[in-house]
Amino acid sequence: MSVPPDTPPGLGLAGGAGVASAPVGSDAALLEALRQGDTRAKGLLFDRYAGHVERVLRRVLGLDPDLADVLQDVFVEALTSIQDVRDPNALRSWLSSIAVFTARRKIRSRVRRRWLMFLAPDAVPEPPSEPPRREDTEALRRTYAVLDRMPTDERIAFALRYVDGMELTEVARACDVSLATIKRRLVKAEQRFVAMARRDPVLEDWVKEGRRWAT
Amino acid sequence: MGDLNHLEALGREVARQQDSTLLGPRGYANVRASLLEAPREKRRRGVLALSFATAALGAALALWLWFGRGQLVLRHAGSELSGAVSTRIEAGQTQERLSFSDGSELVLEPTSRLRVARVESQVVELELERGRMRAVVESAGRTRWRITSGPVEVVVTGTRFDVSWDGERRRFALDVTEGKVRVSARGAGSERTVAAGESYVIDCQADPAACGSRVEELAPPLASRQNAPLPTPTAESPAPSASAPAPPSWKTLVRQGKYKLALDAVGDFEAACRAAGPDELMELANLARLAGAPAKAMTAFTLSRSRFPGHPRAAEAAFQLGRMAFDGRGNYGEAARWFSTYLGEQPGGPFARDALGRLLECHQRSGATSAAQATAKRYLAAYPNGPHAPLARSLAGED
Repeated sequence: MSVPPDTPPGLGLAGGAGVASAPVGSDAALLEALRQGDTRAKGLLFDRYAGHVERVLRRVLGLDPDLADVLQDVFVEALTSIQDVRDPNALRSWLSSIAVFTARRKIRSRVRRRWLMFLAPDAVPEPPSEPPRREDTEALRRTYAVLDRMPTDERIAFALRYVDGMELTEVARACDVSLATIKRRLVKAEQRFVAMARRDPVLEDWVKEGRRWAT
Repeated sequence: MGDLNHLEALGREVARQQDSTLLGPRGYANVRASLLEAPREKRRRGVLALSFATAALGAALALWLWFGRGQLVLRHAGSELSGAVSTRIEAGQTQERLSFSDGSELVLEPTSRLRVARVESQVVELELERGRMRAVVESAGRTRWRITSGPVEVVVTGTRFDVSWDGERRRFALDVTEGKVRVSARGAGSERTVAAGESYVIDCQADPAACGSRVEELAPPLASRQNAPLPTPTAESPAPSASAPAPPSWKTLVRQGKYKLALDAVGDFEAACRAAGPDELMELANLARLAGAPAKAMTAFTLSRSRFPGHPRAAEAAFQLGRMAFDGRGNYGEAARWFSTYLGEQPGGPFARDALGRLLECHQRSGATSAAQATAKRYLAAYPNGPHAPLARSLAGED
C-alpha cells in the first residue's frame, strides 16, 4: 500500500518511513514526527493532550483568568524541548510535569505581586461587592481559598492527589521528586489542609469524620 | 484514615465543579492557532547554541543599558514618564490604567486623582489625593515604593498587606501578612516597621492633629523581631490616653484565635449586639460560639433574626441556630425547623447544601422515615456528590 504523499513519516501506514511498526496515532509515531519538526504533528499533540494539560493546570491553579496563556506556555515549552523525551510512553506524564512547573511559576508570580488598596481621606470605604455566590461552587471556591494559603509545593501535591486523583507515583513524576518525598509532602499538606478546612463553615462538613456519617 | 477518605470525596466534588469550567477545545482554539502560526524549523545544535549565546549577550547588554541609565518608566496615555515627574493623573468616569516598565501596574478608580512625584529605578513616589487606587508592585528589592494617602505614608519594600481608611471614623488600619512595610503618621515623629503578623492602627479621632498611632500585634513576636517602642508624641499633640500600649481590640484577638479573650474584650455583649450591623452581629455571634459561650451565641443569632429580617445574615443565623440545636442539644426537631427556615429564606445560599444535608440527618435521627426518604431524594437530585450523598442513598434505597 502506498503512503499518501502528504503524510508525515511515521504517521502513515505500517511500512512507511520513520517508525515503521508504530500503529497510526501512537505516541511513538507522534513523537518521531515532532522530532522531525512536522507542523501537523504539533497540532496533533495539542489536540491529544490539551484537555489533559488544561485539567492539570486547573487542579493546581484553580480559577485563573490567564489559563489560556499558561496553557500556551506549556505547549511552547514542550515543543521547544521535545527532543528531550526519550520514552514515548512517558509523553503524557512528561507534559504533566511541564504543566506542573509552569503552574508553579505562575503561583510564585502571584505571590510576588503586591496588591495595595489605598483610599483617599475623603472616601468612605465600601464593602467589596462580590458576584452572587452559587452554592454549588462553594466547595470549589473555599478549597482553593485554603490552598492559596498553603506552601506552593504542598498545594500542588495536594491538588494533584486529591482533586485530580493522581496516584502517588504519578504525582511524584509530575512534581519531579521521589516517591518518598511526595509522601512526606502529602502528609504535611493533608494535615495543613484539614486544620484550615475545619475552621471553614462549608469545608468543615467535608473533613469532619465520625458520627455525622454514621447511619 | 477517615480524614483521607473525606479529602478524596471533597477532591472529587471540587473536580466535578471545576470540570464544568474547563475551556475545552472551543475555548483554546486561539491557543492552538497561535502555536501553529510560526512553524519552528528544526535547528542543528550548533546553530541553536550560537543563537542562545547571541540572545544572552543581547539581553545582558539591554539589561546593562537599562539599569545603567536607572530607567524605570511609567507609561500612560501614550506618554512615558520618568525621573522627577510631578504630574497629576485624574481618572474620569472610567478606570485609568498606568503601567511601569518593570511590570508594575496601577489602576485608578473613576474620579480618583493621583500625583506622581518621582519614577526612578531606585524609588517611586506617589500620592493618592482622592479616591481609590489598586497597585500591583512587582517585588524587586531595588525599587522602593513610597505611597502617601491621607495622614499615612507607606514604604513598600516587598510585602503583602491590606490597608484601609475609614473616612467616617478617621481610622487607618494596616495588616501585614508577608514581608514588612515602614509606616509613619504625619506628626508622629518617627517611622515604624510593621512586619508580617502585625497590624498598624491610626485613630485620628483620638489625635486629630498628629494622628497618634498604635501598633498592634497579630501574633506574638518572633525572638528575632525587635519590640520597638511606640512613636514619641510631639509637643503639639496630646499623648495617647494610656502610657501603656492600648489593649488589642476584640477583632484583633479574634484574628489571633484568642476567642475567650476576644469575648471578654467585647464588654457588654448584648449592648454590642444591639449596636452592631448585620455583619458585625454575625461576627459577635460566631465569636461567642467559638469561645464556648452558647447562650451568648444564641442571643446574637436571635437578635440577628429579629433586627434584620430578610437579610442574608439573618438566614445564616437560622442555619447556625439549627447547628446549635443539632450539635449542642441533640434537639433534632428544633434543628429541622431552623434548617428548613434557612432553606426557605436562602434556597441558593452558601449553606443550602449543608442545611439540606443536616435536615436529612434530623429526619433520620428523629425516626421520621418518610420525611427522611423525601429529603434524601431531594438531596441526591441537587447534590449527588455532596458529603451527605452516601447517607441519602442509603435512606432513599439507592445503595
